[in-house]
Amino acid sequence: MIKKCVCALLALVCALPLAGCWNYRGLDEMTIVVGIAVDKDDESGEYEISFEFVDLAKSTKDEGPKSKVIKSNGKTIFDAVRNAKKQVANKLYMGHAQLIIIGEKVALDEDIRAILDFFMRDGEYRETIHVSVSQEDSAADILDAEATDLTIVSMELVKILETDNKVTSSTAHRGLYEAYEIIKTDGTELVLPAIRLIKEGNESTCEVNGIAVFKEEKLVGYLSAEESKYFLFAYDDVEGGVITFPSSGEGEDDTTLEITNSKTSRSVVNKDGKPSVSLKVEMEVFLNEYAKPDSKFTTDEIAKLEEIAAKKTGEGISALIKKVQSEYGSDIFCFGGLVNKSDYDMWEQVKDDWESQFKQLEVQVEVKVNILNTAYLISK
Amino acid sequence: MKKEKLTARQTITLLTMFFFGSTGVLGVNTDVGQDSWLAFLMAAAIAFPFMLMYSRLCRLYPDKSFFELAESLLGKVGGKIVVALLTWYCLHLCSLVMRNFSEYIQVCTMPETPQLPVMLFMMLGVVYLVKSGVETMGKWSVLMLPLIVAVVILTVLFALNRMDFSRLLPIARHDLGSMANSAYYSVMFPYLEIIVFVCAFSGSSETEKPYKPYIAAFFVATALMLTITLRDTMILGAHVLDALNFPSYVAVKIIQIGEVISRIEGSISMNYILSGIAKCSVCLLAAAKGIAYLFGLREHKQFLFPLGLLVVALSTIVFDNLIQMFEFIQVYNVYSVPFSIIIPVLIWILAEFKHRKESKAQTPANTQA
Repeated sequence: MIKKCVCALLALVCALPLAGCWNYRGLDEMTIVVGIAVDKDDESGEYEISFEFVDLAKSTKDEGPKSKVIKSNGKTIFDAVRNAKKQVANKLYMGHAQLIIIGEKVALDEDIRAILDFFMRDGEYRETIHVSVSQEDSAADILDAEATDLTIVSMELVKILETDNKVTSSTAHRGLYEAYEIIKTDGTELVLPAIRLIKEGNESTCEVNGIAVFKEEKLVGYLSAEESKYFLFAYDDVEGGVITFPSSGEGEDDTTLEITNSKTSRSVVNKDGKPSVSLKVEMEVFLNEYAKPDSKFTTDEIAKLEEIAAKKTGEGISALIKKVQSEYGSDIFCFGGLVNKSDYDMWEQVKDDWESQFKQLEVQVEVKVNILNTAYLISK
Repeated sequence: MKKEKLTARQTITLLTMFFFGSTGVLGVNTDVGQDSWLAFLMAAAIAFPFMLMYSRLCRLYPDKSFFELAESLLGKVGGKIVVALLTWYCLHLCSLVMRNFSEYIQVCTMPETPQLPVMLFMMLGVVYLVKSGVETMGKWSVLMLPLIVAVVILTVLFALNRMDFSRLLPIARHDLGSMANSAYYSVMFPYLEIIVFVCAFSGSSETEKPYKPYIAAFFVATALMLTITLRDTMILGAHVLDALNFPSYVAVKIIQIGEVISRIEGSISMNYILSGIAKCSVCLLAAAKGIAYLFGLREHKQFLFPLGLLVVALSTIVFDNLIQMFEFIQVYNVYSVPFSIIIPVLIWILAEFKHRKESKAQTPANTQA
């Protein structure tokens, strides 16, 4: 009998540590943060961090989850994070945060490595959290905006970023750990998605607007959505989207191709001891919009269209690379990394002054477009 | 008293878990970035002769424990000194491993839980396991190793969409010196810690060929550790890998397939703690056997609980913080040389000589008969 009692007692005692609940925290004791905006106050020089968190009290089954935004100041980022506790009953829980928006001013003035370092170091943030840059004066404005089809701005933006290169190919998304890896690697520079507001009367909604270009740890400029598409072609990250071009070869764009598959082969050629990069884009497309309903689609006509589309895309990519080389001088295409990985001996020679080498780097672009079908209409 | 023994299969599984032990959570040395896996292979190549050496020892004197062998070769005083040294090493290693795991749990999963209760409950499990006997340990490891292997394979499969093979490029572009240096870390930890396993189990193996399991376990463990190193490098990239204290945990954290399979790190990486328990229990068993041998006692089990408490106490004072823990690895590389290289090699050479003498003495007798 005594033995049984002892056994039962032991089982009970064992159950306590096995549950692993040294400090149990229920859902009602958490404030679940989904988005974080990092700004800096000009006057005090303090960090101003805004948190968008799920408002559990207002979320209903019919209308979906609601969110609220709070702002807090601090001398460092973590100080500001902790100071937010002064305004809310429960400690902020970051495990579900999905988006970090860095304000333009912070990106221009501060060392982004320090910001990435903080979020990587702290255990609560996911390594896959998306990092982006706000084109507005303050990143907090983005979180204050109205969401369009979802109810929480951060979640909407994350969804936009994640599906972008399959549908529009207008920006590049980077997870926290990827951004951290890129910024520490030689021969490549960081790009982050740029976000801006669209104002209509009193209401404002947010939009992903191309790419923010970094050089080492500082923001140096932006690429438009169109340029970003060419960037993605050069980076081999296009999975969808459209290309438009004039069907006659000049004038206004009147024809649209929908990309269904695209592959860019990037290789390094040794040219008199200097590296030169060759990009071969090959994409498969559907013809989805055509402004000359009378014309017939013969193989010759299709071949002509393919050629025009290829030419326009190729020129776009070359122009973008030239622009980045001359204006930003930042190797966002990872050409240095390409040289490093494919021809290490050459990289050893050029890596010390890669910055100037990159500006003079010769890049050859070849584009091949294969029109697979003309969708529903034969157009005879 | 019936002598408790391990079967060949149990030796393989337990030794594999012992090797995998803390490397599973700490990862291998990542000084050479994307070439870490190559450096690790180099380490395996360097460590392999040592495995052969221990196998040879087992073949020469299959019935003798390592402690008995030391005393018969070095004499009473010399033997006791060696046993005392090894006992200290096992005890210290046990507390180091214990601390590794409690730090891991604190940093990664339970930041607000103090370390002492974590260690105490883990140690209770370890003591209970060892007290249940060698056979139970063996059977337990046969059950648990497949779980760990399954977890490693699963995480690799789940992470395929996050892996980038080009993160391994350029291959072998670090100079030989830094590669060798990185390899040396992995030779000392975990490979040469096998001396602890030998102290705990030599002379208590059931099979005809007690040397075979060592080689088998060596290959299984190498494959496992190589897999996690490659996995981590391909998921995270060389710089993130080098920046992280516990790369495997973070690599698993990144796994996400659709909306369903994500955030599995908690449940999965806890399995690695099983191999930590295996390692701790082997160390504890070796230490207890050492103490029993020193005082000429046949039974070592009464030492397990006090030694377990001692280990917990020791592991709270071995480091002040995590930074010291990682810095100590450099000290450990020198500190463990006498225990894991000098003593075993010395004993092996002496055993060779003794064996030769004995067989010479035997041969004439055989011919006469």
